[in-house]
Amino acid sequence: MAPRSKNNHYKILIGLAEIEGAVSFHQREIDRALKPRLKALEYVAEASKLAEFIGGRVESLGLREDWTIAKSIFPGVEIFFVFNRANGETPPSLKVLYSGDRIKMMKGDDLARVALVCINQMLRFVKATNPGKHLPDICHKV
Amino acid sequence: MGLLKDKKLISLREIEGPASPHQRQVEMALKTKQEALEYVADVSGLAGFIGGRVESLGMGEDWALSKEIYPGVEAFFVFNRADTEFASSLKLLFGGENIKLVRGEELAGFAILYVSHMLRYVKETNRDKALPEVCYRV
Repeated sequence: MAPRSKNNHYKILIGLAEIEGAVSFHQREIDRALKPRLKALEYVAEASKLAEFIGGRVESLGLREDWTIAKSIFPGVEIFFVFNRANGETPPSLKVLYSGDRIKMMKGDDLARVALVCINQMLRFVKATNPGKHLPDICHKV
Repeated sequence: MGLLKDKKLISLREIEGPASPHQRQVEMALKTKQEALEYVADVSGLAGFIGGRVESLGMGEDWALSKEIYPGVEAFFVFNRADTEFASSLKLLFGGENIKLVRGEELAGFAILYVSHMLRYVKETNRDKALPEVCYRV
């Protein structure tokens, strides 16, 4: 079972735009890559199992998110994946945020790339845990 | 400290096949970076910095480190310092029961990311020294 964190109240979470500046090229790169992957994450039935699969932990940010998973990349460098399922009004959304006292050491393109490959690993989890279901095409391309 | 000889370790070439494009990509990236690893004085400090652990191959390496990418997917770095005959060398291997799930391109990306972070450690721990230029580019 993946560990579950209970207290995130004092964590500072930032996006690539805060790391790279308002015109972050890599933020746009992530947004483009996330778009075709979002629908597949609707097939995640148990966030704790997904967290375990990627070597992360379930978090609760208190932002009414459906699930949040944090993954440590290096000590002092963490990625947070914040997911909201689609509802009648809004499509699904996945936000990628970063945290840790060494986050500023990292380059934006490294952070963007590692977030994307972690999401690819999430799609492998979706594929492995939904045998026989008709999944979005992207699941079969990772 | 783990003993690597009991683990099955493979290279990107074994994962992707003999014409692995990512093996060449990694070799090129490591070539420019490995010289900087001569400045690592404290291997356990380096392991702590990248969130990995010191390993022992028992094959005369100067040091070896492993780092988990995902559960069941690990990268191994095996370093030999330069001597009078050979230049310094950093070998990259992978292990774990889920290794075949992950694409070679992604494994290569993680490995290069980890080595870049090792160079940040070199920079942090050798502030008074003139280091190879690559340390200032990560």
